[in-house]
Amino acid sequence: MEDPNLIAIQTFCSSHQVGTDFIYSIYEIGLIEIVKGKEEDFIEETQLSNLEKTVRLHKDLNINTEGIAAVFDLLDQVDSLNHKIRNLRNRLAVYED
Amino acid sequence: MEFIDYYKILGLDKNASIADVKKAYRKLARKHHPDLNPNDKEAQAKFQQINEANEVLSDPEKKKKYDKYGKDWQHADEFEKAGYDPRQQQHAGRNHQQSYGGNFGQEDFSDFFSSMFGGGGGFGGNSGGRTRFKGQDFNAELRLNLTDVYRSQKQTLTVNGKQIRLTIPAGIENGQTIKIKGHGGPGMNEGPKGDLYITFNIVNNTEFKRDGSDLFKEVPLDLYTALLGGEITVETFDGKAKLKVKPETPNDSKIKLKGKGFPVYKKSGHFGDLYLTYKIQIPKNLSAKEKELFQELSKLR
Repeated sequence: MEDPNLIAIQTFCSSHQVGTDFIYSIYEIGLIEIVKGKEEDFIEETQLSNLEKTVRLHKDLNINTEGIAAVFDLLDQVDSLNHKIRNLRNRLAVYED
Repeated sequence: MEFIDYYKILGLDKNASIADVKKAYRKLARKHHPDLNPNDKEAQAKFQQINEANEVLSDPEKKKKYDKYGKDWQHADEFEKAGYDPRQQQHAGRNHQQSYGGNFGQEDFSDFFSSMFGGGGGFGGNSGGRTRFKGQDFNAELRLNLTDVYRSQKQTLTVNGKQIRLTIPAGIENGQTIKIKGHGGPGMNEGPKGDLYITFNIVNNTEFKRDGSDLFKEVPLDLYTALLGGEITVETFDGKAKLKVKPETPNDSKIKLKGKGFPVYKKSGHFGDLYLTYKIQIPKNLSAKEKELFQELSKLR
């Protein structure tokens, strides 16, 4: 498989010094998608940012997969709140001099 | 290059044990982790400091060296051989790498660290040695005037010495962030490049107020035109519009000019509306004759 948008899980794991089991546990919990290949499995490049974030949270802060999933949910909430705040601020500017 | 007080960074005193260091590190790392503080530009720098402090103070050998030489680190090697003068300290300015107000945090160790313990590389530590596959994402801020984002425009930015050509779509919001794929740091082990995130800071340099694609403006309206009706010319964002004013138009009346607002983001040819609020101007410095006529008018009511 020579799709440049696909990254072999093995390649990712050796680069990050992380076990493949960790990737599969992240997959099990629904945080990333895995593309099944004939001989090996891949992840899409678009998933890399999220996957690397999970690896950092796991390694830097010793957070387990369930904890990481909760962190992701909360980060999504923070993001949507920030989005709302931004829109409200811009709207508020209409009424301010 | 300045001396770095690693104990202070971790909020500890000099008698702290390695166990204290580890505890303080975990707590601060959680608080300042860049992934948990995505909109905090300081977090990355703070996290690096914490990591570096932990790298030194949680390692018995490094801690010993650091504790021994402390502020006289510059003379550590000479100190081994001869006496030293504790007043000899040098302070120099720090380098901040910045472009477009962006914070392209670097992952390596401080100069201080490198000069005391050698190059930042080669640490297999689970916290300090940060492996990477995809390149680092960069963040930049771009300040534009509202008039600049009325039309889509091509712009060339210089980010970390590289020129990037991009088209800024018309109607971008103040505070909005766009992602430019592949313009971040280089990847490792053939990993893809990081991305560049540009946050737009739109300064309203016009008399219009903006809410998304709608624009608002107050228009002064002459008392007589408001009473008797007439025609006025108003400035729209990119031109002029002639408007008929109905007789007996009340103060604060709003009118909507459809499609005369701001472009809708990424919807070429679509525009919001322009809302005008009439502000009736009461004449000042009335002459005797005018007063007389107004008195006459008031009696008719």
